Amino acid sequence: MLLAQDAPALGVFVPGNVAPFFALLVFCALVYIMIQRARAGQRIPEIRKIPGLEAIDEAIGRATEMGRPVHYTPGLGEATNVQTLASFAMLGHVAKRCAQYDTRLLQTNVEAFVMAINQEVIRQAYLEAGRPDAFNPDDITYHSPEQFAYAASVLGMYERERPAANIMFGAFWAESLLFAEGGAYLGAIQIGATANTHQIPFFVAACDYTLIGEEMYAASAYLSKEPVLTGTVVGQDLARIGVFALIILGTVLAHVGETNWLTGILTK
Amino acid sequence: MRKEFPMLLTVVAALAVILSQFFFHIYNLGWLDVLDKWSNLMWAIAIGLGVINLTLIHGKKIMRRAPGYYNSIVLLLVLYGYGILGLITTTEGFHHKWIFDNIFAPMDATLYGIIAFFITTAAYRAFKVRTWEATVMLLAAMIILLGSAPIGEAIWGYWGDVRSWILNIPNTAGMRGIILGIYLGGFATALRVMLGLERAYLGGVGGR
Amino acid sequence: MQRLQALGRRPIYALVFVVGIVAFLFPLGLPVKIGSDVRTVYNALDALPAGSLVWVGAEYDVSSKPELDPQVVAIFHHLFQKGLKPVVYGMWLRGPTIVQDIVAPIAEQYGKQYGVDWINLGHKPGTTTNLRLMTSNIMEGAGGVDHFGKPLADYSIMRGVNALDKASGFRHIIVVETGSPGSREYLGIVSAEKGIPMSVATLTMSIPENKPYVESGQFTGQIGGLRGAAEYEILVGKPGRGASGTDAQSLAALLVFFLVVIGNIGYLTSPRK
Repeated sequence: MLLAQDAPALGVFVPGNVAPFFALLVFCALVYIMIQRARAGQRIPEIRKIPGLEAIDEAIGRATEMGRPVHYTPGLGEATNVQTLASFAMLGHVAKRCAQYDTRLLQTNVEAFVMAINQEVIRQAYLEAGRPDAFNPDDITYHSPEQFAYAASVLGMYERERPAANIMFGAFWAESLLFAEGGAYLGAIQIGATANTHQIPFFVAACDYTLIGEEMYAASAYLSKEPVLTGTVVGQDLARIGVFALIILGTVLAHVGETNWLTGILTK
Repeated sequence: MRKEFPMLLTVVAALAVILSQFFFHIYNLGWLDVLDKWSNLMWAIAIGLGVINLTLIHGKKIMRRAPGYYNSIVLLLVLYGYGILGLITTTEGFHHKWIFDNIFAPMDATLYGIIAFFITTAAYRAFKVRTWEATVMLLAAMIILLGSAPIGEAIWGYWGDVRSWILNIPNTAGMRGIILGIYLGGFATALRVMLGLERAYLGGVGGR
Repeated sequence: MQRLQALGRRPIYALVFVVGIVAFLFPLGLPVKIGSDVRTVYNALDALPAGSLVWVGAEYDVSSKPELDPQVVAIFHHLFQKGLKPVVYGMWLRGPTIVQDIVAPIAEQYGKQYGVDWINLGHKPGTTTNLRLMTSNIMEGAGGVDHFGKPLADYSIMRGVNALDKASGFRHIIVVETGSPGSREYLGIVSAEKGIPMSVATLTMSIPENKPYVESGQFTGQIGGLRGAAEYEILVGKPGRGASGTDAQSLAALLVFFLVVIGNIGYLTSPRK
């Protein structure tokens, strides 16, 4: 709770949160406008080619040719983690392709809640692909809530099942390199995607393709090609241009020693 | 209703948090505190549910003598044995702590330590002068690597300064760009979930 | 020559193992230069008046003990030397247990009494939501008890301490982190909201991603990995495992450098490059 002596900013706002509120409003407005444009069938920019996402079908195709399974992990994030939310959409795509190609999908989990959702996502994907009979709940496995026990268990699974494609898409920590190096020894095609900046270098070093940060958030729009989802990504990019302009403005003002008013507005 | 109700809950909870974050009088209603307590309660319930679920799944496996059922026996023994020991002696109790310090801790640290081996082979395999971008990455990595340990400065007195420059200037600039992009992308994803545009978490897939 | 780029993983693992062992058996004792990130943390804590409360977020697990424990040791030496009062709390389940084991003997060394000069609130479920609760009501956030399950009201250090804010006397936050939840959560929920300066004690691999926050002043500074621990040990005059660990780090870095060089010689001499 706020202290009694605190007074609302501009009569209604929590002190210090005025600028973030308007930034949020502008962001939502940009996304909304782009969604409406997309719904009205007006032209909106396309998302650039993302090699890591293009490679997913290739990786599953290769696993199919080799008759070996595909492994998918969403990392250690909880169901409320935005990266995990983005992962559900990717898992749906991967599961659908696996169902279409009749390739076994091994999906490992560290979080019980996430596993329950993943089961539903995969079941639905097999249903949409017209292959509900091929859905095998035993291939969706819970390993351990402990980070390294999970990592050890997955490495053991690598040795037994020898997946030919290894897709790591979500929130990863120190286990990222264990998974990626383990996959590299198997000769699997590896695609790593995370917004955890401290793990991106490990994926870059050990994977064939890496989705850096925000690229993973664009995945659902990119893969589905749905204009409405693409609209949200375009809105996000427009917001980025706004932030960029603000950085330039701040840099210029800092050089002429006039940043006080800008800082005053942004911290109000 | 199976999908609409969870979506409605998502939107209501998100709005409560967002409005409390920005509006003084709504903040003072104490919704955040209430949600925080609910969240804590759900954590506790989830742990209880997890224990029941594990017992049911592995109990059935043992009864059916399914392949690898002996692993299930070990799991249940450890789950209940260590749990009950903790309840009796508390986590600071001698036996509970001894098991933790001498079995769990070394095993966990060992697996983390394996990263040192893996990172060496990954660096050996990945850092090649294939393209000029790869060469820049290789050089930066080597400067940071040797500069992070005292050996860099023992070889050349300014090694640490070069490392600091790379970390403070190019790294900070790049990292800020990535972080900004991540937060904007993350927020757009959260917005898609709130608006019901992205429903994969409810078991829908979408896409072609 | 081309074979140099195709060494098997086993000989490389063996080399790493040997180098690690050699470094611990025969320390090099290389001098460690103090970096600005560590010095700013030291200076910030050093400038606090005796009796100030310092919140210590024990946000790590046993896997990170080798890298983070030496930092915790050095930090607590400093806190007790300066007469500051640490309040330990952990969103990570085992963080407070680990820190308790480290701090108890150090506190004894300085004659500091538990519950009077320092306290461990322990781990409480709810991660970030509970941390937010701490900023409005520590009693509720901690469930009214400390790490040992004893009532907080029984400890004199908790008198007048209602929330994790400046009004209760908190002057600095140190987050010993290994991942998430960690410093980002403290920054958004506590430091930025309540205006309490914060520093981070972290793993070597997290140094680059924390740099933007240090440069912007959102973090006072950061102590990174064994090297950071060694620097802090020197500053507080208590050489320990940080200093000895940097020798292993030095030799391992040299090994990786050597392997990368020979790998590239193999690559450049390969006709299929």
